Amino acid sequence: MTAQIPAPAIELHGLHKQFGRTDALRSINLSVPTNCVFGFLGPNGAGKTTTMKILVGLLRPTGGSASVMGHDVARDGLEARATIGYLPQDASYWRHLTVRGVLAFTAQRYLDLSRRELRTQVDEIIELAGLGKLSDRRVGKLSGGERQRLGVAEAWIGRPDVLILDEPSAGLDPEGRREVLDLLDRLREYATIVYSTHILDDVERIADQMAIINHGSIVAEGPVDSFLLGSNAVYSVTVDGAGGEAINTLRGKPWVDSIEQRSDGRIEIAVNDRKEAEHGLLRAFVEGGDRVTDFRSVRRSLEDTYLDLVGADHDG
Amino acid sequence: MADVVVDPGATLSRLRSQGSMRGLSGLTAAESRRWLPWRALTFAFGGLVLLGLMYALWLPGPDRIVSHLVLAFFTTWILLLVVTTVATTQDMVAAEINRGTAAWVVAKPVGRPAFVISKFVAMVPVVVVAMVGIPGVAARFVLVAAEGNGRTEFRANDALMLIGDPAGRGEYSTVPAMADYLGTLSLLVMILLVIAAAMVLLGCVLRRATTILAVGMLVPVAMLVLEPSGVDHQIVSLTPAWLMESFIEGARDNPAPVLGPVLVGVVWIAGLLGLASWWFNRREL
Repeated sequence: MTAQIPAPAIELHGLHKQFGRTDALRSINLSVPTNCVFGFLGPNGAGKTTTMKILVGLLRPTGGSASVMGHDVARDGLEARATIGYLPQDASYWRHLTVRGVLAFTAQRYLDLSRRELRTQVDEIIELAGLGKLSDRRVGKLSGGERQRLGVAEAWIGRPDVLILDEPSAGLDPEGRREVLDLLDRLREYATIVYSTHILDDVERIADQMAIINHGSIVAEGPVDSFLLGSNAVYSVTVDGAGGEAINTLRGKPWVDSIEQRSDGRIEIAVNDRKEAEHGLLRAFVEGGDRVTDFRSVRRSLEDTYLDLVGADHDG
Repeated sequence: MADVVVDPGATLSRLRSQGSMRGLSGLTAAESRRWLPWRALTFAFGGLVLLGLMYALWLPGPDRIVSHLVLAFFTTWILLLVVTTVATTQDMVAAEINRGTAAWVVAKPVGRPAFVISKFVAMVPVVVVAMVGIPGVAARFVLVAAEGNGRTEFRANDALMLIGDPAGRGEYSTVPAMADYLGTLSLLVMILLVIAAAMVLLGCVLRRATTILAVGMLVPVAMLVLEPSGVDHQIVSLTPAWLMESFIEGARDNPAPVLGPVLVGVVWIAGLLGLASWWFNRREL
């Protein structure tokens, strides 16, 4: 008996998009597993919004294909969109409507329900999004975080299989961001969540998987942990003594990128091969006659990886 | 945030899922709720106020001839209806595209044609009932009352100034029979609906509100001037200008076809909306 591998929630094959002569997406391939929180990371203008707009049918791909829950977005757009809840980057609402009014208006458009059922369901969504106390407040009076939670709640109407959220936490204060991320965390057991951001901390906090897009190309993708614990690493070593001989030995090793002696006595060694480093670092100090009093791996931040891949010239 | 006690997976219904015009009924209902409550009331109330005002001005006049009231009311009312139709429909699609709400709507599982057509369908009861029906029927009763209240002699010169020669009606005019009157009103309904359909198309094609408004104003003008400009009647009868021509004849209480122009109007509306849907369907948002 063979194990069934669940089909990916989203699959992109050679997806290409041109605006005039500009390549917004350059034949990207991407696979988003079901039931994960997927962070789509990249600087402004990298192609995140374009990709998302293609997925929800607002833009047509110039080449390649994209599918959501097995439905090709170009050939079978309605079926694909029936599985998606979408929050655009610059979501706008009728400001005179209340929170309940917005959700009821949306639900009336798409759900086939009696008035009573509709009310019950809107109540449930309001509770899920933690908007209970704000349900009768006009949209124009909501804070940024509250409005984004309303947007996520609205995207959740119809209980989609995939939530596609374009920068849901952009421009929010820390409290607003926390509220939005908490809500996503709450929804993760019911749907695959794909959200774009250039806030690295958000990805590190709730995403299981991530991809980095830059200049219309996917430059890296995989589990978030693999980005945090990649083959590149930094080790901190503290020794009794100067450690000079070991440092000289290590400088000649191909897997050592740099060695830095800190004022607090620690020696920080950046390596490009974690396996080699784990074998070779301690040996070098012991053979150099030093007594190692502390040895640890310095956790590499997502920002380090991101900047390595995207370059430090971007604002993201 | 409050503790969640609901299980969304168990409690939330799935989205509507029907046919190629998926979402039309829900979108139309939502669109109607935006139109009907206040715009419909405004139109109906505005029409009745105009009618009442005209009647009140006419009553104390020294020369109370019914034709004066008929002409004054209908020319003012129709002009206002045409202008307000263009003005109120110019932002139906374009403003939603510019605001981003159109993208938000069509990102849901609704057909793009349904989005376009719902705009028009929601407009139909407003035109039929509020813009034309209520003031139009009320006008008939007022005119009949005025007929019993004033002289009915028709001064050809007065009519010529506004709608042309009364075409052999002599110098005597009465309020048309109810069936003829309703026929004339139905022509007016179709004229307004053709204009609304044209505005939907313009909203899908053009981006700027002022451009849409300017081009939209040309639509009723074109309907009005096509026949007087010397175009063959066979050609005119294939266009909505036939509606206008027939309506003017009917308003002059002359025999005028209704069914033919209405059918031509329906075909044009279908064509305009089809073109609008096709254009909007290929438009990137």
